[in-house]
Amino acid sequence: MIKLLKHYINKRTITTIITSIILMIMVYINEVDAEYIGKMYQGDNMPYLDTPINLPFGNIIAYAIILTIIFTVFEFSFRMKKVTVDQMYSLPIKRSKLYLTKYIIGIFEIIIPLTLSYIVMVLMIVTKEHMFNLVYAIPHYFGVIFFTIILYTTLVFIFTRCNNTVDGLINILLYTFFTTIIMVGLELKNGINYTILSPIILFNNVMEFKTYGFTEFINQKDITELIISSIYNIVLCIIMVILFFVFIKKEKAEASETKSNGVFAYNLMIPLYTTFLIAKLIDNSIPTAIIIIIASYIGYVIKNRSFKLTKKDLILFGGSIFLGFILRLILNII
Amino acid sequence: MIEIKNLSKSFDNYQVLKDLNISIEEGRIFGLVGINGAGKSTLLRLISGIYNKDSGSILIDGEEVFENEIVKKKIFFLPDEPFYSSHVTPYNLCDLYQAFYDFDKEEYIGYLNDYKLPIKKPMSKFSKGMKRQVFISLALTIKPKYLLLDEAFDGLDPLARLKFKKAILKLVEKNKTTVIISSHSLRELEDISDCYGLLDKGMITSTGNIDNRIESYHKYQMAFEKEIKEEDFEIAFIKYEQIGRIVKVVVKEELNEFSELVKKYNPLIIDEISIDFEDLFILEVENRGYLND
Repeated sequence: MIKLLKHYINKRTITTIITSIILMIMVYINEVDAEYIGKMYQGDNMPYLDTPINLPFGNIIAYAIILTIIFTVFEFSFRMKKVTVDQMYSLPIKRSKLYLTKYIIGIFEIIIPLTLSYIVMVLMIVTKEHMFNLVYAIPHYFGVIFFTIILYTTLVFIFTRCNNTVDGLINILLYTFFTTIIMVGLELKNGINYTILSPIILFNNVMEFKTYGFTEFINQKDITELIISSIYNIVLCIIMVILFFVFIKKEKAEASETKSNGVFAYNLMIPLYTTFLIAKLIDNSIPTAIIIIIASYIGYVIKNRSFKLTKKDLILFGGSIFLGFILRLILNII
Repeated sequence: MIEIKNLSKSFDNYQVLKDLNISIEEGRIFGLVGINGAGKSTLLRLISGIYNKDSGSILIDGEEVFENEIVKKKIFFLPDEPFYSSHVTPYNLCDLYQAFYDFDKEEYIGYLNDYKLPIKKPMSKFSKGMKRQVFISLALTIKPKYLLLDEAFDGLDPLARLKFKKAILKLVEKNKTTVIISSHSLRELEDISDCYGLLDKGMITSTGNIDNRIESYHKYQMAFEKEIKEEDFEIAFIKYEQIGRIVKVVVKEELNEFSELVKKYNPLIIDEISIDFEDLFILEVENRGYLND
């Protein structure tokens, strides 16, 4: 495994250098004209202070998300083409070791460009007049890296549950934005904001941590939200890692390039979307409900590449709609 | 030695291999034949540890192959569609294999030069035959104990085929490599294989030494004074072809015995024609109900 790791480090060096250069140029272009001080503006009744200070840190997080998606696909799409499956699986290495090597290489490919562009960003801030307490740049950096690894692990798990690249990408998007989009507004009367469960929203907490500094952060933001969010995502990440290696052992190489019928791909995401959209996001109009049901059906069409639904699909389709209405009823009663 | 016992493999509900049994001794060149979709590629992928079996066992030197790094290090598999990508050249392809096998890069380059391949050109621009030649060069450099070749001659020009066959024979002679070759080019297989297995309906239905098997059949060409039909003979032919007064038959009987049998039909001439591996294959598949009009 070490030899393979060394091989990939050598092989990916150029890719990593190119990615780093592109990212550093993007950071430079974004930050070259940016201002990091607050400006006083005259409002209708009183003057107000505009502080555009979060922007560079927000950009870094956007880059982290983009890199994570790109390198998840880059490293693991080998299992979605028969020619690469033949090549990689015939090599004298256990699949768990092969996947672990790919996983580690992916982390390097994301972290190195991210770190270099982070340094460029901090240097650009330092050279200008700014309002940042840059002492907090160090914990913020490690926070970003930590949650990038959590997001990467999550996406690797989701992507590798699919049998072709298109399905992998669709399911990455479905999963990534499920907790972010679908759960927006799904606040029960006890006031819990479910968006904190999203790995993407998790970045937001890290970002604010930097902006205000730790003491101020506690005052301004509910620290329990960050703790719940972190614990949830870390536990989920650990479960995914365990499942990842369990599934690798059972993996069927012949499934490559076929439809993705696994439990954690469309078969989980489409019913989840259907149930939660019906439960919370629709108003009481029938047309909205019909649109959601049609969208759900289209999901199965994309999954099967056919208008015909299998028996299993029909059960999931009907079941998720039914569950959505039941959940909606319960939420209205509470 | 490769020992396969009661091997079964299904894809969803379609059973490809069913209770397949076969042993291939060390240093043999085994020709794997069968009609399209018979399961040859599946069998090779199972032996090389790419696919996992549903049941049965695949033992190589007494050990199961799937997820066995030590056993897999002895195997090199060249699939029907070899790997390629836009950023992989023959020159840098070997880097991956160097991580797993004892590898002499100069020797590899030598083989590539023998095939006159552009070593620094992306393999995505290569023809199928050229890609295959790159992997043949890899295989010859690695010198595996077990070499598995799927559709071995596909895309190779006659000169490359000749070079390839010579190289395989040399590899077997020098390293006692066991080779399994699946191919539809039966004449090429006959040239280098010393034994064969016919895969049909998920099982090896016929196996053995090619020469012995061919010798067990006899093909005769006869000419008669007037047209004569198959049902006019009181002989069960394995194969019967007729063009006018000329009849070609395949039987198990030797020439003397057969001449006695057909004497009463007064053939003008009886000539024995040689049977090759392709004839043997057609006979075998015809006997199993294929190709019957």
